[in-house]
Amino acid sequence: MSNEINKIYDPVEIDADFFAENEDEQERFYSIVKTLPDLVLDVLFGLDTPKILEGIARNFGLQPEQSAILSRLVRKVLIGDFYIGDFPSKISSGLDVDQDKAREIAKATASDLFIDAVADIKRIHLQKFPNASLEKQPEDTKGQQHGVKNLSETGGNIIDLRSRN
Amino acid sequence: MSKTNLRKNVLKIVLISLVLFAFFVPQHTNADLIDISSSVFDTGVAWANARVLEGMGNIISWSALMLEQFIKPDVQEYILNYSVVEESWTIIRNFVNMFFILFLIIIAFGTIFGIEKYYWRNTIMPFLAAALLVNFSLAIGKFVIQIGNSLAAMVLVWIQQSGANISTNLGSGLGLGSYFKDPGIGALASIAGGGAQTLVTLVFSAVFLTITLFALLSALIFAIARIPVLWAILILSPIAFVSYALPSLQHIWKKWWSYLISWSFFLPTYLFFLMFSIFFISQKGKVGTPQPTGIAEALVGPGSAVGDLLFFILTILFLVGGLLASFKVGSLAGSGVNKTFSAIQGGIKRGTRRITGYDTAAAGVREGLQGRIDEISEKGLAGIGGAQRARISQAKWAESFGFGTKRGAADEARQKEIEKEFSKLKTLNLDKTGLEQRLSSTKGIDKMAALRLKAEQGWLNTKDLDQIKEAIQSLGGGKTIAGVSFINSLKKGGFKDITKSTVEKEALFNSLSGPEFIELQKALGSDMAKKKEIIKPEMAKKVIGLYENDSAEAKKEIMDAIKNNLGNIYADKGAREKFLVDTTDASNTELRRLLAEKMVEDDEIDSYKKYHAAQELFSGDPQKITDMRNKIAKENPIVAAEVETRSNMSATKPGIINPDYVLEEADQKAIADTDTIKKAVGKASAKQLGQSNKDTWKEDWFKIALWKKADSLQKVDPHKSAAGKRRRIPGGGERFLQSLKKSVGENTDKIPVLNELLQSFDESTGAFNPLPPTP
Repeated sequence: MSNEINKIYDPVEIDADFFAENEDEQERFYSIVKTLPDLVLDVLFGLDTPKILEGIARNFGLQPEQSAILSRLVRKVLIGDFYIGDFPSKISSGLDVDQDKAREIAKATASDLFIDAVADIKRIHLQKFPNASLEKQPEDTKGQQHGVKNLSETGGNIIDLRSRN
Repeated sequence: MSKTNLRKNVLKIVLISLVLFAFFVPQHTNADLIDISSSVFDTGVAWANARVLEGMGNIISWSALMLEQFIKPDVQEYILNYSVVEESWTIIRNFVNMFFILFLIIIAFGTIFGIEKYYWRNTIMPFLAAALLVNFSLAIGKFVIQIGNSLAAMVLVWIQQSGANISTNLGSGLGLGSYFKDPGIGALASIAGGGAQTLVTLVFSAVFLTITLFALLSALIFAIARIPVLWAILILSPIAFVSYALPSLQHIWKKWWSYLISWSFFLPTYLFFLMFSIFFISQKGKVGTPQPTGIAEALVGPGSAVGDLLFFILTILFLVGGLLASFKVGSLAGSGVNKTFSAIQGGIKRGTRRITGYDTAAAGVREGLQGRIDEISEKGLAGIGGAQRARISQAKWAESFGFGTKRGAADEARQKEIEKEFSKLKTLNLDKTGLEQRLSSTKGIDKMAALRLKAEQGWLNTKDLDQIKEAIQSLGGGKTIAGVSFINSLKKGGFKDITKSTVEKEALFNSLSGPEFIELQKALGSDMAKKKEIIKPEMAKKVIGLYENDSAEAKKEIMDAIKNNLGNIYADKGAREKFLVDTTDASNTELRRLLAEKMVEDDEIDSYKKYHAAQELFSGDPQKITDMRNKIAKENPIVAAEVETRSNMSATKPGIINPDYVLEEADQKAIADTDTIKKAVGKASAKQLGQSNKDTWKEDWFKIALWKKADSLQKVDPHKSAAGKRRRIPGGGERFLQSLKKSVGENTDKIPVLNELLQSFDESTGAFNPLPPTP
């Protein structure tokens, strides 16, 4: 990262200081990183990732603080810290935006950033949240678009990566 | 039998023998030789007899004459009204009038104190009577004297009515002027007959005349002395009357009356008895002096020697007895006056009580005042009197003289009184202003109690400083029971607002000099320590010094308190370290020890140098050293490892124990290579290592150990090179150094070492190059 401003759009660099100060967290993160598929790593450490997130932020008129939180949420989704189905609600609460806007941001993030790593992300989440995926299954079958299901709890704004394959 | 009694008895026998010889020896003998010598003897004795008795008779006559002159009413009247007496009386009266104001104050105090004797009910009437009558004291005194003089004049009239004046009567009655003028003439001489009889007459006459003379002279002397005495009594009469106002002075009043009556009535009493004497003597002539015809007739018949003797004896008895009786009557009269006046006084008091008893208004006031009176009688007024003070004073004396009283009894008594007042005061629930007012209006125990309460409430202010000092001094310092209690109250109140700033408080602390203030200093110092107000090492040292001889418990308490101030005294870590390792001033040792304890507690023993200094300070307490090492092992594992390593190496290199020992390169490497160090550095987080003391960072062995750790981590978790759209992912060693960098922050002592480590990383190979050798 060339400067501090761009740092807020980088899912790893955003918490570089935090990791440097909290070695345990850093080690936990890097221990997960070591297990992640390359496609996910390409998103997480991707050279274009900051640019994509910056674009989303700009599109949705996010403040730098909101952008930083979005970057952090992206990292957490990629390493499976929380279930991707909760992404819109996390965005809503984290960025302090309404549900509709949160769903739009989540949808944009998924389509612009996660698109190449969807299958790997799906696998990671299936492994980490098997119960969650089962619970969400009936709703996942509702309305499929372009071979990708919209998750009901997200109001159809979130692509159901699990039904893609 | 004693010699004196024997002598008296011999004298009696000789006198009786002489009398019997004179009366019973034969009056006529037939021996011519004896007749011639007897005649010569008779003539000589008779002549001597006449001269002696005539001379004594004249003296008696003159005495009687003078007495008569002195007791004449007109002379007495003149003496009584002598102008000097009145002028002197006026001066005395004017002077004593001033005392009534004083007496009024005394009565007021007596009433306030509730002293029955001086209570206004009992004193106001005598006071008013005295105030009124003092102006008539001269007239009253004169009146009494005039009564005595009138009686005397009356008796004199009786004497004069009997036909002659005193001197004439006494002189003629006793035959003093003429009876002995012609030897051989006279009752006794004719009875006894001859020189022997004359000798007996001479002896008896001399005895009787001497007694008579004594009686008359005594009367005369007293009559003369009576004049200045009565003057003095009259002049001093205002004092006597003023004395009636106060119970404790009434003895003066009584005595005055006793003197007045005695000296006034002495004269008439004596004259009364003198009158009897004169009556007897004047009646002697009427009995007649017939010539005796026989021995029996000569002895006991009318005009006989025995008859004459009886006249003499009776006359003398009246003269002397009268004199004695006059004195007795005088004093009895005085005593009677006392009784009379006591009765009058009692009547006045009873009357006053009756009046006040029925006076409901007065009763109301009395009840209202009773509480205050009780209080004042307990505590006294204006620092005077009071049962409270008496109790303390009693205890003091008992203690001073060791009347079976334990040491400190006075102190204990005082404390008891203060405690009593303090408890009472607390129940009043006074506010700050109320207590302030009470404090300014009271004295002694009350003031002490008020000040204590103020202290305990934390209401003391800068103005109270002097009062506090005075209180401590008056309580005998801070070690007495009362002193301790007072200081405890100060502690309880926390010396709040006693000074405006910590600096002022420190100045106050330093101003307290003298042994009596040691406890106060300790309390203040302790308070400051507990409030973390000690900001100078000198102050801390002084406070520690004050507790030098105290119990271990007290010492620990103050040490713990002082310990909490060390952060103020040595605000930054560097200052603390500097003081800890500075061994130049031995007086700092105690404070350094305390600082070492504090630093151990605060995990500040983060270098071998500090550890070594602390260890030296704890040298007498192995447990403390063990505890310190355990604590360091937990919180500063690198220091603990260094301690262990140096300790282990000291077997071969004793000097290595010394923190100032300069480690050679080989030593540095050897230390870094020890398992202890490797393990400690390996286990320590980047944060812990980054925050290790700069002294540790300066050591090469530490740098080497850090490099080894980074290298090891990098090897275990190598980096991932950049690929495609993905940037490079750092390895474990790199991340460790990043964390270390974060931990080191801007510390200029550590950054060069860190940079050296960072520079040793080769990004192209993703591995750490060996560190360059130390220059």
